[in-house]
Amino acid sequence: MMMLVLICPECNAHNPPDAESCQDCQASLAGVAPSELPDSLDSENEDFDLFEPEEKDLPDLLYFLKQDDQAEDEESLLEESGASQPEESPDQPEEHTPEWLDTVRKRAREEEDSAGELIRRVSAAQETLAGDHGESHHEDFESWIQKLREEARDKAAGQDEASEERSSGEGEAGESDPEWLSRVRKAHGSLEPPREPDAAGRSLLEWLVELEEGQEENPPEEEDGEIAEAEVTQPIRTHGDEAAGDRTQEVRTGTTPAKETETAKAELVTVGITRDEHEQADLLATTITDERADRPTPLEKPKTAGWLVRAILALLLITGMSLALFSGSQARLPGGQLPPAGQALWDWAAELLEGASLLLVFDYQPGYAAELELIAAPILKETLAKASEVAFVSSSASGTLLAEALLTEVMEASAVPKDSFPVENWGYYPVGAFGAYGIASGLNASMQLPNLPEPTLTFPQRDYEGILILSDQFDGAQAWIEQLTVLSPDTPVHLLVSAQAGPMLMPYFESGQVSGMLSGVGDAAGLESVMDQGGVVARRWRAYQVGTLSLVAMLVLGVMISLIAQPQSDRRGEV
Amino acid sequence: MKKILGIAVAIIVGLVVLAGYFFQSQLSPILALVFEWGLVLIGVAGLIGIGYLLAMHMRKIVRWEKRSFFSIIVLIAFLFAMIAGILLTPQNALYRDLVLNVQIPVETSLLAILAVTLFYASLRLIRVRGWTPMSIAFLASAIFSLILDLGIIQTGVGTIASTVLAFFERLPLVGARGILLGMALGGLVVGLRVLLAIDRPYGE
Repeated sequence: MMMLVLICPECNAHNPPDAESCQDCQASLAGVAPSELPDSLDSENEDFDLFEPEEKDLPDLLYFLKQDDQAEDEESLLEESGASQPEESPDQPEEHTPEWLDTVRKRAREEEDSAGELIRRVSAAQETLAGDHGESHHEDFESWIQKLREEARDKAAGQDEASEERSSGEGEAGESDPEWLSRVRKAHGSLEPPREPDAAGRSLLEWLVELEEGQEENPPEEEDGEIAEAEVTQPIRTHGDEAAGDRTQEVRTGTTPAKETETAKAELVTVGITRDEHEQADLLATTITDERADRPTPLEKPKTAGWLVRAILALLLITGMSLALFSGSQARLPGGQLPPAGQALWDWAAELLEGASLLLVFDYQPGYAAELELIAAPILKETLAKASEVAFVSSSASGTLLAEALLTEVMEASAVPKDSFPVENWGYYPVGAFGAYGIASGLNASMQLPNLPEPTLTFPQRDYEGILILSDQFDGAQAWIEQLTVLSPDTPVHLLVSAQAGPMLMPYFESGQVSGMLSGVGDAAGLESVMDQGGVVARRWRAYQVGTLSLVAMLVLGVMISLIAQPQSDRRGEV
Repeated sequence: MKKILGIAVAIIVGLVVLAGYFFQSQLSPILALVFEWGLVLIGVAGLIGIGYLLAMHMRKIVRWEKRSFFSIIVLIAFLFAMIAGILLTPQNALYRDLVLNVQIPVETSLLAILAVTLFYASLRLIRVRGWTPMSIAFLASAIFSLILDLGIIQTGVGTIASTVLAFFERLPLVGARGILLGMALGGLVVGLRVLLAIDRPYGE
């Protein structure tokens, strides 16, 4: 009888066929094909366990002898009570009697010669027990066993001579067994008495008696591991619940004798089967069954040359950007008008009076230099041409270098003599570490290293015509705006910031704290368009468009590939 | 005891700085002292960081561990920049060009890598989350903002299209304000948690 189960791919636990997730590990069972397994593991246990559960501590033969004895007791009781009882047919097997035992009994009844020593002894014991029936009723099976043992002991005393003969020739040990017992062994592979050199005269019955009393705990070991008949004897030791006691059962399974060979010697193989081993055997059987079951075969992933795709994409992107940058053609800048903040800044720069003093704040990292130079260059060109005094401070580590580089570039581009007005460096303000308080309150120099910018300076509180803050991030620009607008409330503050900081700083323009603002390459392009001067922004605008459009195209392409690949991945679970 | 001392110092300094914004005239000298101590500590922490970095790379070179070659480059670049800065001063044009012509391309390349990483992360978001309303909105807004930033879409002045375009152009501003509000509230909560010793970023 087979049953369908879902075997968890994670923990190999068995789950009902309609389960959606594993009952043990909660792993998803989607796509797991049901496997056929035996109806229960008990059926597999039968392969390893020769006894019924109630017979765990009693060999079969003893059990059935006991059953016969009890049946006779019941018959005698019925006869005494006078109740009519239909006579049980000897041919009719009992409910739990194995077939081989029925065969033995039948032949023992029909053929007198076929009843070997074992049966005769058993019959004699039964007759003895029957004789004692009227007196003691033989309520306890142990007393019967005791009698058998005493009888066997008496017999053993008179068989010393035979014992010596047997011990002298090991090969003759099996010859004392009757033929019918060998046939039974052949047919059923059933019980065989142990063969011990030191107990050569012991009969099967003696062994059974000792086994019943627990004296036969250890399997007899053959000297030098040799057995006379070249008969492979496999003791199977099954350990039941060890907590319940050391119930050890030894079963000797006689197999077919080996063919005639000179060195036909058998090894006594002891197989200790514990409960854990039994469970492992069950697991092995389950695994074998599971391996034979139909399993979803994962479809082989197509070998996509991912690196090749990436290399092609990178090559296309670099080529397009390079062509756009170095082709020399100028893109058509977006026309129209500047945003209000940008327009306000441009108006202020255009209307700046001659001889103005300016303060420049450099608060951006070198990585944003290219973007901020595009934004600031047109404004600085316009304002520096009218300035009579310029001072700058920085709040980034490379601010001083960036300031000098930008000012030099703008002056060279606008043909403004470098010495036409003084450029003062007011040093580095660690806004990130010191916060806005340092700007507002000023710092007192306590230590200054030669040839290094002064880390602490009193903030230049002068009446500037304008303050320009070049920043790439919101935090730095925020600190400068909030402190400068308090320190110099009448001085217009303007922002030249990166595209990422622009939207965050827009509220300062709308609130009036900032007079004007330009952010990002887009505003720079718009400013250049308003100025009607084709230049640096127009050349880079083409590359900017190519890069942005490439990004959009790859985004759309990637989403489409995801859409196409998603159903394929869903189908991978199908067989 | 050590734990309590750290908590007490953090709470007292925090409360003094906070009170300094309300009682500037009374607490100004104390605030200046506290800030200068802070600057000294930051400078010392920077020196410790530089020393640790140098020691780590030197250890790698001495043991000749994997990628020790890059440690050699780091040490050479560090020593060159430091010695040249001391000798030539940052005002020197050569020193300025030497530093900026290395620093600007390197940082710009890092930003380019960041852009590609963000692009890939957005794709993974779509693949992992699937087609949810949020993922669709994210994708649509990203593509729309990129196209809008190119200046391709042009409208006439005073038209309905210009109004619609202005609406979309203000969407990043709306989002930025939301972020600002979140940052302000988050900063307030973090400050309160530090003052109340619920969070102890200065160590347990």
